[in-house]
Amino acid sequence: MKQQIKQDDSVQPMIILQPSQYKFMIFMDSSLQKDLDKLYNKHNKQIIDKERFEKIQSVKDQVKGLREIINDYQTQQNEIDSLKLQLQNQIKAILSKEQIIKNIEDTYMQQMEEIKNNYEQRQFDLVKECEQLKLRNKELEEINIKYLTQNDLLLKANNNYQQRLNEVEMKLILAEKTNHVTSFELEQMKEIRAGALFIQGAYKILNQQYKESNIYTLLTNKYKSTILSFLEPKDIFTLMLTSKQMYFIIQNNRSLLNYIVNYRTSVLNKEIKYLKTEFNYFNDMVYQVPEEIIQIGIAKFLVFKFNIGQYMNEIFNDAYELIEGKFQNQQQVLQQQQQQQTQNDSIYQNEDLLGLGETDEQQQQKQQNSTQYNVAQTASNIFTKIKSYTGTHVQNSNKNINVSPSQPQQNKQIKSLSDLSIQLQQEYQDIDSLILDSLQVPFLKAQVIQTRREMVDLVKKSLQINQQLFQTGRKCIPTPTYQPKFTMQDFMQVLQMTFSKFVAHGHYLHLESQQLQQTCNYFSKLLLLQHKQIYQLKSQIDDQKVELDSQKEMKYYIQDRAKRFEERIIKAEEQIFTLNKLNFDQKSQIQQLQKKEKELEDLIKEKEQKTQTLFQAVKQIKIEKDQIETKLNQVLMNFKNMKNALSKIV
Amino acid sequence: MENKVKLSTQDGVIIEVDKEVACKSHLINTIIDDTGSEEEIPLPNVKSSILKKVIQYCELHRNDTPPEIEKPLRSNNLSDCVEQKDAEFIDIPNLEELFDIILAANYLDIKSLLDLSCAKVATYIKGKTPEEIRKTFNIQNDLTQEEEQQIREENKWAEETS
Repeated sequence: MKQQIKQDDSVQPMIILQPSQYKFMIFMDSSLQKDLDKLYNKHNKQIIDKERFEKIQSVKDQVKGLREIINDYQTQQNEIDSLKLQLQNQIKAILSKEQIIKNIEDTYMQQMEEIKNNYEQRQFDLVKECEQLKLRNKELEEINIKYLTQNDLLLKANNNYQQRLNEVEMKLILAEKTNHVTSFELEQMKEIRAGALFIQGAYKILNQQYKESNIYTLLTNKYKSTILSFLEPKDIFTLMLTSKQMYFIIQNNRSLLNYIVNYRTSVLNKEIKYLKTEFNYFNDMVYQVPEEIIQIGIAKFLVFKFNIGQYMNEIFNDAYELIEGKFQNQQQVLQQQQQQQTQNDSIYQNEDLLGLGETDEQQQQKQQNSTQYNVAQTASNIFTKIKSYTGTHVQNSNKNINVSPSQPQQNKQIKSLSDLSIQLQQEYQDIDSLILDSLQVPFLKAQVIQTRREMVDLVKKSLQINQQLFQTGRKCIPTPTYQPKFTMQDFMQVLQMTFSKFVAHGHYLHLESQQLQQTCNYFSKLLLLQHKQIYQLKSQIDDQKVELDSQKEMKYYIQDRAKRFEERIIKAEEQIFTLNKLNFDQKSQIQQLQKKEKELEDLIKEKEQKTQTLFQAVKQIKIEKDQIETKLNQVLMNFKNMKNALSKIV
Repeated sequence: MENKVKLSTQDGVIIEVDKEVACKSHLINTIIDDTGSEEEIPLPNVKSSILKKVIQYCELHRNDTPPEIEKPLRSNNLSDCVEQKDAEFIDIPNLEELFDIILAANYLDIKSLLDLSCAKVATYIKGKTPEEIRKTFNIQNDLTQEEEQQIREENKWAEETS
């Protein structure tokens, strides 16, 4: 295949390929073409130079052929030119198409770049936004965590509050219960308060009127004595203790004091009346006592008071006479003793003549009751017995004295004298105690006191006599310088007699005391009964007092309870108020918490919505990205196709 | 109309009463004797409400004379000391009214009513403590403890009599 290179200034150098090689033809640059031409020329020159000579001939030979060829060529050239023109036109058309494609490509590229830039920008923005969203999400998560912690805390607090609320509710229920229980009483109290207020109001109105006619007015006017006359001194005294004014009103009232004195007198009279009735009652009781006992008792007292007293006096008188030296000799003493003995006997024998010491009442009683005589008879029998006993005792004493007339015996007798005296005193003391016991019997009181006095006197006398007897006895002891008027034996005999009388008297007193004791026992039984009754009455009174006290205590207790109840009500009201306040506070707190909870829920919802919108935005972006990618792919495909087509075309 | 008497009270109310009943009051009786029963008898010291009570009492004893009340009272329950109807009549819780009745009874010179009302006042005092009496009659205690003790010492004998 031949290649013909035709230099034409107007035409750019180019490698003209065979038609089969057109598709490989490369459009070159003009400089390159020039270089190539130069190189080609050089090469041609070299070839020409080399082949010039060789080929000049051939060329010359060929010039001819060439001329022919040139002619052919010329024709061909013309054809080529025409083709060239055609080609050029085609190239121009291609170039214009290429330009169009290029423009399209540029526009596509621009669009691509724009899309790319947009995409990148969008991606960048999205990333940024995503980052922001992430940050926001983090923040939201943090906030959420905070809110969650807060929520936990709030829940805890809420639970605590709930617990407290429950407790408070329980308390409230309890308080309500107590309130319910007390409400009734509270209402009553309120009613009472209302009543009290009403009364207070009424009181203020009535106060003035009341002042005009109050108790002072009544007690300072003439009705005073009328009112006070209905009262006992104790009540008047109590009234006196109410105020100073009252004290002076009552204190300065002479007639009132007279009234009190009169009242006291009347009370005393009543007391006397009562004592009289009591005396009668006891008398009646005494009449109800077996007659024998009464008579014995009376007889004993009478004997004790009169006969024995007299007897004692006589003994003491004898002793005095003896001491005073009126006793002349032993015979006289004996005679006197005998006389005394007979007198005593007559006294004892005449005990039935006890009427000597009897009171009028007893005499009347004697008249009324024939058994009195028998009692006296019994009494005389007793005294007869005493007498016989005394007689034997005296005899024994005489025997004793007769057996022992010597000096040591005298000393012994002196000693026994003091013993006897002590014994006597002891007996007196016993009687004394008996008398004291019998003092409890009211109607015997006076008699007993009188007898007791006499007894005391007797005891005193006996003590004096004892002393004097001792002195006289001493006087009877002979000394070398002193010869007594009476011998000791005389003195002792007289003493013996006196002592025997004392002993008899002592025994009598002993019996007397025993009988007295029996009577006293009887009366003490009666007294016991009376005491028992009094005790029962007292116990009843005490019981009533105790009941009264308990009622008072109950009253005070109720008053105190009412006060405490009122206080409790006030406290309960206060507690209810505070509980209501607490309840209100807690409710407001709960409401606040609920509000916060709602806000949190709203925030969470908002956050979820945002997250969802974000997800949707991301999805949208992805979709858009996918769409752009597909578009790009399509563009690329189109471009490739175009390129292929172009290349094909080229 | 001769058997009726018109009584004019402090508050201007005129009350018509049987002459027999009205004459239980010595004051009214004297006025009627002096002036007759035709004219209104003015009672300026007695209120109508109190006069009605007084008339009620006089009506109660229209046909009898109440017995003398025992002195001193044996109990602070008045029904133990007087007739049941009198005790019920005078059972007035309001001291003010009771005092007014005393004043009216004194003014109208009705001795039995005066005694009854005074006895009622006495029941408020009898057997009560000083504090209770103070509370009943609204008396202010102005005695010191020492003074009270002194009065007690001075009047010990009064306590002993009871």
